[in-house]
Amino acid sequence: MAQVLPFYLVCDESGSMAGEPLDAINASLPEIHSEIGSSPVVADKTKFALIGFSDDAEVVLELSDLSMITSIPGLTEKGGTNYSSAFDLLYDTISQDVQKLKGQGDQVYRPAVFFLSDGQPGDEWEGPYKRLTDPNWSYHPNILAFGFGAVDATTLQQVATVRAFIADGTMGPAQALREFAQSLIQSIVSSGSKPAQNGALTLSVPDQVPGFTALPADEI
Amino acid sequence: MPWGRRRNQGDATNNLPPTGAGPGSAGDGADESGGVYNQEMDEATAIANQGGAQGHHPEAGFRPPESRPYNRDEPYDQYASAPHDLDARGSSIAQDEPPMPHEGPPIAPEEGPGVQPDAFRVPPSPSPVDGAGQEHAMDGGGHQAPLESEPADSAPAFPEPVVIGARPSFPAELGPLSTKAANMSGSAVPDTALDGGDLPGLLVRGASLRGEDHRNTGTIRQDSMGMWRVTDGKRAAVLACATDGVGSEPFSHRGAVAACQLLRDLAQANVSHFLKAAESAESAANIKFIWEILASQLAQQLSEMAVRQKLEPKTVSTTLAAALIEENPTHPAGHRYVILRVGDATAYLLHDGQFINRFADPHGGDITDTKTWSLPTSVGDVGATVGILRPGDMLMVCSDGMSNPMTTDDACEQLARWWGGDQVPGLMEFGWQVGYRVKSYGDDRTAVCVWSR
Repeated sequence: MAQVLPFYLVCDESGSMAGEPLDAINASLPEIHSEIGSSPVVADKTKFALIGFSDDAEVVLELSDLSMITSIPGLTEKGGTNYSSAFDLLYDTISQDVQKLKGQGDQVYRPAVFFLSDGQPGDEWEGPYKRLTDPNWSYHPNILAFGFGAVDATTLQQVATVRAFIADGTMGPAQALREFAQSLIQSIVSSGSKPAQNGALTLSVPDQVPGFTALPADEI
Repeated sequence: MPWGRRRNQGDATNNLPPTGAGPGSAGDGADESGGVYNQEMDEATAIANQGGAQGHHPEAGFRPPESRPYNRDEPYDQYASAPHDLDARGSSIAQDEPPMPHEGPPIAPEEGPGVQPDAFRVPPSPSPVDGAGQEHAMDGGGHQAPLESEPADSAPAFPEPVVIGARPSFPAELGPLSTKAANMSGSAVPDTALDGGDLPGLLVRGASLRGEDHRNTGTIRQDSMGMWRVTDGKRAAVLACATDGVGSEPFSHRGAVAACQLLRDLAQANVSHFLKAAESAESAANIKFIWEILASQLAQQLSEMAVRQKLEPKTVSTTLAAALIEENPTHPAGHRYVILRVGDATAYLLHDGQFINRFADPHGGDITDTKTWSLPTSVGDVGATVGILRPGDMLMVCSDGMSNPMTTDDACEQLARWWGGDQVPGLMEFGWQVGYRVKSYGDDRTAVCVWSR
């Protein structure tokens, strides 16, 4: 019986992420865990899940109250870059999660997705994406898309529904990813601790992230 | 004045059963600045007094609000901070001070059992109740310092806030005080406001509490409320309002205060119109028609107030829910009432232990959306409805800080237990009740309740 804003970090695990990028993300996970888990005001109102994708997608951490788990499992590099499996898994996971929360009497706010990729998708992903972002699907999430490496701005803007961020090249991937993780933490903390729109839980979206250029999302 | 001083004219009418409430001082704690000239209310009155094109619609037969005198003794309050100063508390001004001088003798603080008046002027130890309401007593485990005239262990302890449903993961506590100076008169928006009054047959209690999210961050309460007896000389009614300043707007607390007062003037001028419409065959449609016109006048007046204070109208955005209840029942079943709203503030009828939302449940959807209509710049589709308040029922207008936790059955059941019986709580008890805690619900919470007894 609480109001909840669910956050999903959806992270590329393709081969190109191996080494520095994935190390940087994995090094940020304990920080995400402790910043949010140790703030009861924020942890009371937010839940966090981690999904990794490459050829397939998997739920690495299911939607959890970060103050109630001991750690966030890490990501490992896999194969190619396939967006449709990520969007399909998101659709299924969000459906189950929101229904479960509502079943226990929670008031659920629109889920937030932080999507991170370093490469162009090798598949046709428009269908699964449309299903995920269909305005008629009542659980459709707000999506922020972050990209670096080989992914191009157009793709990011297509994936994002709120805002997209593309690495501007001023930092190496490790540092840029640390900034990304910081902005994710800030967004969760702000959304959870400050009443925004009309006192209810609103996703606090960063305007700028160091190391990235902010781009508008495409209109759906 | 925003809400009357009637509470200080004796506690006998409050039906206060012996509870843990100890000797109390004035409930809203806003007296420190005593008689501070309130620019917001002056602005509201000045705009209302202009009448003119925006206030008068000859076709509809509505009269502009009548002018009333207000106190110009205090110097005009110029703000110390710039309009785009985003620290709302730093630019806030007193909203609980009356613009008019009292007619009667100087008002003494409320006296509790066994307390000598002198004890208040030089208390031997800090009083547990001050502008922070019950929270002060919560620090350090609710210990209440005894006063000189009482044996140490005879004063009852003040209760903790009730936890309903899931317990928050952190204790109730106040955050930091604001470091910014308030306005030139030195007052700020107090954490809690309480007010109430008893008329024959209608008992009113209101509480506007700063939410835990704002307390934790030392930021300002953005909700407000108002309660008045209004009359246009022909019909009389009780007006109860609850307003919720939009959280992201830096001056929405001013909009929340002003909206109540501007509505008071508009309602007073149109009491008969509203009540006749409520008696008519197409009552809901007629009420809505009147409210659409008045809401747009209210929006215009609020915008003009903002501009006079060198603010963008959007920055004073607020929602509003108000009930106008006829003082003398004209229906055999009870008092006719009208509910008016803009945005997601709402109203409930408590009947037979059940809370009935008088508007379609906004939480009926699968995902809770955070957008809301608001005065003055996005009024949207206003809400209006009519009903009858039967003896034994209670009508409540509230901000969404109250209606959100009421989506849980536990909260509704507890509130119905407190408010659905024969006893109507006294002011302090009512404030304590409204301050119940539920995990994750940290928004400002305002409720004004009218019982028919």
